[in-house]
Amino acid sequence: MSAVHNRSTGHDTSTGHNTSAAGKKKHAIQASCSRASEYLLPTLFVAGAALCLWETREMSQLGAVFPAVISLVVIVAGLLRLGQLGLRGVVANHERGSDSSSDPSSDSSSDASSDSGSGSTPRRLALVGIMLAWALALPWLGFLLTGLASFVGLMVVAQYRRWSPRRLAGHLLTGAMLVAFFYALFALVLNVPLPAGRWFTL
Amino acid sequence: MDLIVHALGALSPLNLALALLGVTAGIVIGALPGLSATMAVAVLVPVTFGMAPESALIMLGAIYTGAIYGGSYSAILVNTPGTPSAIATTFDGYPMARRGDGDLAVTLSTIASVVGGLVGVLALLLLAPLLAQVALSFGPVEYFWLAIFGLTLISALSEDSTLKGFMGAGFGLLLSTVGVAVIGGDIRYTYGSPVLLGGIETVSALIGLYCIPVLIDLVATPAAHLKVDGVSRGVRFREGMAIAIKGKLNLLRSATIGTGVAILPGAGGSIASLVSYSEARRVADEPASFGKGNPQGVLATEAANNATVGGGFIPTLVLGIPGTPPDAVILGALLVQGFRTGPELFTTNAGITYTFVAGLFLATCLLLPLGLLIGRYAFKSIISIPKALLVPTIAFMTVIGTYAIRNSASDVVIMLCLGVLGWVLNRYGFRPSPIVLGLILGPIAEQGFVQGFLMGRASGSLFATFFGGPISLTIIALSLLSVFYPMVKARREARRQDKTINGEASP
Repeated sequence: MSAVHNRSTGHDTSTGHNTSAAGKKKHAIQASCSRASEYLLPTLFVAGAALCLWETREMSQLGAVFPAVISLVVIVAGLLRLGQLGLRGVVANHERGSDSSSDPSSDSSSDASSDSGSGSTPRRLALVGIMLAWALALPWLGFLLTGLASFVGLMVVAQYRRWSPRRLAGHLLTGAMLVAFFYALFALVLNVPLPAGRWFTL
Repeated sequence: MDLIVHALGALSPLNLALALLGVTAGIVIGALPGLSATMAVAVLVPVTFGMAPESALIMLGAIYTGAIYGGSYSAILVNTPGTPSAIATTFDGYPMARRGDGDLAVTLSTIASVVGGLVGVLALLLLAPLLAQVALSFGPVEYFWLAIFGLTLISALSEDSTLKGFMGAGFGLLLSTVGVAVIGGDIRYTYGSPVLLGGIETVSALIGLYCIPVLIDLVATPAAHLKVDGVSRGVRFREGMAIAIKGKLNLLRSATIGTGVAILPGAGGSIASLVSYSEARRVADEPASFGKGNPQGVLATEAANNATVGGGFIPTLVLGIPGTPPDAVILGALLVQGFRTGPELFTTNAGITYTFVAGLFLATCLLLPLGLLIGRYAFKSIISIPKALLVPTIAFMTVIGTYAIRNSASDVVIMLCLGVLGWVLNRYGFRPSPIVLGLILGPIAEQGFVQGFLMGRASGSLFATFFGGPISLTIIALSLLSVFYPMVKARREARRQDKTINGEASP
């Protein structure tokens, strides 16, 4: 939206008078999430960049110059942001935090307490967990087996309505067909050597 | 003459089929709320690895075109933009659908997308060779400043905070330095891990940053019950054409704005459509009717966002600097293929380039029949695809796609980690685009910077090397403008709001 606003008002030129400090105070920064996180993230960026800068001392001059400059820029940007937050103040984003889960399943109590906003955190974690397990098991169990297993796993994670036998059968069949299709596409048509699974070839 | 010969290459049955397939797949993914055009391209990029460069480019361009257009269906019919670039389409498209003109709005969006797309392709055909001429005089320092310009622009445009944009861009740049250095051969930030030695693979990182956060949020909520408003009565093509002809100036202006915004590095369809929407409203005779179902609003946004496709390819192909976020993915895919972008695309590699431009032209024209058909008959079934199938399918494609790039399971793990990190950062107001642009532009920026540094040291004046040339100075001026303009603007706006208490009423 801001782009519209900017452009539509952007034709008169201004040299920018200095706004009073009192004027600034009125426009406190709206946090993306909680107030603390708005301070925490730039701090982490500064710390991370400082670490990167520290490590450049072991590199040759040519290798070090670029990461060092970038780290410095990140540190400066992070410090400026912290200064900006301190000067103008932060308001927490209530819109995001207060929206309690609209998710009828699993635990809604843990959702409200954690500052994860709307949606189901257990399902988010389950998705990441399944995908991580998938990636780690890939070389060992082969593509087809892990693909099918994670497909079913993710299907369960993404399903909110009750499973009727018909729906389950339909989804499983479609899933198997999709996995087979992509496997065929990559392995046969595009000639990507997909892992067969070390455990089976031993 | 050469041009025509090359263009005929696009008409080979294979390329035609790929264009058709690409546009269809793009429309379907674009129409699904939450799945952006960038994601459509990222998910489907690995499919193109086995192809010849021109075929791959045609397919990617077609996916991009289709996805940008497909976003308008959901915007119009269910008031949810299918892609971020269709946000402004909801302003007038949805009110039209509510009063029963949804079918007309879809037809208008189709016509506007085709016109916008064609203007973009025309600009690509005409402007890219000119830019290539200019680009021949670019040295490493100029490329460095161009990369910086792209990064400052995208940071300034990030909706939350410019400083957050800078931090994100810096993070992306630092990520790009992982592995063996381009110049000097240092091994950096690998922490002894042989996996990181080869660096972070760009395309898999992009897949992670753009697709994983979407998946994480898709599973977090039950499927939204999207209700299609308005009964579609037909296509109403003739009526749509009449409105489009009446709004031809609006169409052309919006398409030009779209092309222009796309040429700027990093800025894409969402910005282009918002800018052209507000311009269309500003010059209209009855600005108050915008937002209440004015067909011109739909024309403006859709012409602009599709014009970004062709426009964005100009800097992408000529300079290797992505014009829009999907171009970043396409550029990454081209690098995987070992296809070098640069001014030589219009001299030695002209065949590939002109075949691609013709293919893009073709894909844009295909929008008309395909778009009208899918909008009329298939949209309802597309948005009712159950999440329980959608999520595993996308996840499957991200994993198989990432694996296929280097046949590496570690890349899949890296992709996933970056995706989770991207989700967390996005939650706290750090958008993925600056990070991605940093990652893509990192090697260009570093090479330019270090070479400039060496040249400067050899000639005895670092300052003159980096700040000496007229091209460099122009680009630096543009970068400074992009950083400070929003600040000046924000101050002025704050002052204006102080003056007028009822700021909402005035446009």
